[in-house]
Amino acid sequence: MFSKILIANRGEIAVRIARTAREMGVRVVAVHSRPDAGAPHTEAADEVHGLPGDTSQETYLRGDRIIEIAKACGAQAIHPGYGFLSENAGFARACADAGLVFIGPPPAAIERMGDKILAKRVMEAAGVPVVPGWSSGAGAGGDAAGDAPDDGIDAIRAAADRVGYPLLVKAAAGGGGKGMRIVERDHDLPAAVAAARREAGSAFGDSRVFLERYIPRARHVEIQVFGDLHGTVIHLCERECSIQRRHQKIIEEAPAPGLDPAMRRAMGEAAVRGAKAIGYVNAGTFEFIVDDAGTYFFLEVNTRLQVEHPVTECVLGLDLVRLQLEVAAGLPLSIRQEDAVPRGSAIECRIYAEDPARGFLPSTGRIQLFEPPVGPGIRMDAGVRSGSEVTVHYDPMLGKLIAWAPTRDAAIDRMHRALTETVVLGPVTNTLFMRDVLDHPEFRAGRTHTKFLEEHGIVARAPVPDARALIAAGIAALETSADGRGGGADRAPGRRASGGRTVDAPWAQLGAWRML
Amino acid sequence: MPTIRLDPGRPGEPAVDVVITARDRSGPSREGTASVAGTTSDFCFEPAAPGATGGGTLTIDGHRYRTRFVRDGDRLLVWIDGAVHRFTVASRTARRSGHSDADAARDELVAPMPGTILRILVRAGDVHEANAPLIIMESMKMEMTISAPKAGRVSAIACREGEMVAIDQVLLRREDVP
Repeated sequence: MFSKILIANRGEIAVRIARTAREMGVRVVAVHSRPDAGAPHTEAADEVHGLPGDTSQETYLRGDRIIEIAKACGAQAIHPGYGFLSENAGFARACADAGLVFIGPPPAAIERMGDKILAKRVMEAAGVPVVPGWSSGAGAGGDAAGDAPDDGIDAIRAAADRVGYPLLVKAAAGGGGKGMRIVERDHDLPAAVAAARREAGSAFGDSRVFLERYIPRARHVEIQVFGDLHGTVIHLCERECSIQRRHQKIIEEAPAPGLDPAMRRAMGEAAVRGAKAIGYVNAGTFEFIVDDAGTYFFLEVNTRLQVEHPVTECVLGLDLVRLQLEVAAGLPLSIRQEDAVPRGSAIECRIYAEDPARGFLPSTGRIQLFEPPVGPGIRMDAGVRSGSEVTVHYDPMLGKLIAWAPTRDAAIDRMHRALTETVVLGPVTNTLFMRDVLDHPEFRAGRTHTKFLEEHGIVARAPVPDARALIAAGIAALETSADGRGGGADRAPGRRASGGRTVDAPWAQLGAWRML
Repeated sequence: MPTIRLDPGRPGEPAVDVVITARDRSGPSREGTASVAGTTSDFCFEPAAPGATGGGTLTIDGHRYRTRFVRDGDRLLVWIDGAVHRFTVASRTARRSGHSDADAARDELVAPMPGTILRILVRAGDVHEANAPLIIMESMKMEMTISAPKAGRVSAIACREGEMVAIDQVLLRREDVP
C-alpha cells in the first residue's frame, strides 16, 4: 500500500478521499487554490500545498504543478477525485511518466471513453446496446473519431432528419450536461448546435458534437464497475439517477426502484463486457438509459469515482475509495461478484448553493451557519462549514446528504427528516426543493424518469413565511439588533453581565414598553 | 410595544409587521405574545447556549420549533422547520427597500447570477425583437443567454466581453420602441 498520496481536488470529495486514506494509514497531501486556503479539505490532510491563483485553470487543473508537488513531497500516487483532472488522459499519462500512480483507469481507457463518439462505437462493437444517433465521420473508422470540427449545418440537419426529433445535441467531450441541448424541431437545430459547440469548446476545448435520439420518460440507470490489475472485472450493481435538473443529477438511489433482477443482471453483464473490452481497471461507471418499455441503451462511461458513489457504498457495505487505493496499489479486488448483493435502500441528495426558484441559478456568498444533520443511517459528505465562502470559481455543490434504511420507504422518510434538520444560512440552497420532490407520490411510488420535475410540475417555491416564521424573524430581529451584533458565527460572546444574567438592550427596552 | 417591520423583498409581497410584547425576561428565556396580521400567539424563546450562533428553541402556542438566524446589517436570515426565510428589517433610519425603482429597472437587464460575460450579441442602437438573445454569460461552466423581455432598442451596453460580473449587476439598458 502507498504511504502517502496527493489528492488533486477540493470540496467534499477531497475530504471524503482523505478520510479513507487516513483510515488506511496513508498520509494525505492536499492542494488548494488561494480562496480555498483553510478550507475543510485542507484540514482533512496531513500536508498542505498552495497553488497560486483563484480559478480552476490556474490551480486544480494545473496538472504540471500538482505532479511537481507530489514528487517534491514524496507522494507515490495521485487521486484525482471527480471533475478537474480525473478524466484527463494526458494527466494520467504524465503521472506515469513522473513515476506516480494515477488512482484511476489506464490513460488509454480514459481517452477512448472520453470521446463519447468513439465510446459508443467501441461499446457497440463489444455488444453493448447504444442509443441510436449520428456522429460526423460515422463509418469512417478513423482515429479520434475522425471529425472535421465543423460539419456544415446542412449535413447535420440532414442527419437530424434521419435520427428524428426530438433529439439531443451532445458534446463529443461532454459530461455533466455541458454542451448538451434538447432540440424539438428542425428550426431550432442550428442555434442549438452553435450553442452546444460554444459551450463544449469553452468547457472542454473540443467543440465536436453528435446527435442522439431523445428518449422521453427514460430512467437513468448506471452500473458501477470495478477492475483490478489482474484481469478481474466485476460490477457493483446499479444506481438510479433519474431526478435531474439542467441535465444534472440531484437525487440518486440504489438499488433502482422497479429494476427486475433479470435486467439488473443483464445490464451488469453488459457493463462488465464493455469494461473488459477496453481493459478497464479501477472504478468506473457505465451510464444507461432505460426506456418505458424496459429496453436499456448505453450512454457513456465515466472513468472515475462518481459523485453518487456513496449510495453504492451504503447498500453494499463497501468503501469504494479503499477499493480504489487497493487496486491502484496492485492488490486483487477484495470482493467477489457473488458477494455484491444490495441490502436495504440508499438515497443521496446533492445539496447545491443554488436557487430553485430562480431557475436553479448558482447562489454565492458566505455560509454564515452550517449545521449538518446527524443520526442513524445519515451521512453527510460536505466540503464546507460555517464561514466557508461559496465563490463563482467552483462547482456550487456544498455536499451530499445520504440516507440508508432497510426499505426504500424508510430511506425516503429518513432523508426527509435529515433535509428538514439541515441548516445552511447564507447562499440559497435546494433543500426545500428536495423535500418537495421526495413528497411527490410518484417519487414515493418509484416512478422516476429524467423529465420527472418538468412532467409533474415540481416548481421551486421561494419559502413563503408563515406566522411562525414571522414570529421567529421578529424575535431574531430583536435578538440581533441594537448593539449591531449579528447572531452570526462571528457573534462575540461576552454579552453576559458579571452577575451571570444576560443583558440584552433590545429586550430590556422591550420589557420597559409593556409588562403584562 | 416594539413593532418589527419585515420585508420579504419580493415583488407583490408587502412588508409585514410583527408586534412583540414581552411578559417575562427574568430567566434565560423570553416569553410573551407576538401578533402577526391580527392574530396573536403566545411564544417562548429559549436561546441556544450564550456565545453560540443565533438561534434556539421557539415555542409558539405549544408547538416547539428549532430555529437559527443570522443578521448582516438590515438583512436577516431565519431558519425554521427546514426552510430559510430572508427579510429586510426596516428600521427608522434605514431607507425602505421598496420597489420604487422598479419601473426604471424594468429596462435594465441585470446578471441573474455571478459570472463572466462570454459574448455581447448586440450594440447600442440595435433594434431587437422580443426574446432575442442579447448577452451570453457563463457561470460555473454553465452557459446562459440573456434575452430581451420584449421588442425594443438597446440604449447602452454596461458590460464587456470577458468581464466578471456580480449578481444583479446591470449589463444592458434598453427601451421599448413604440
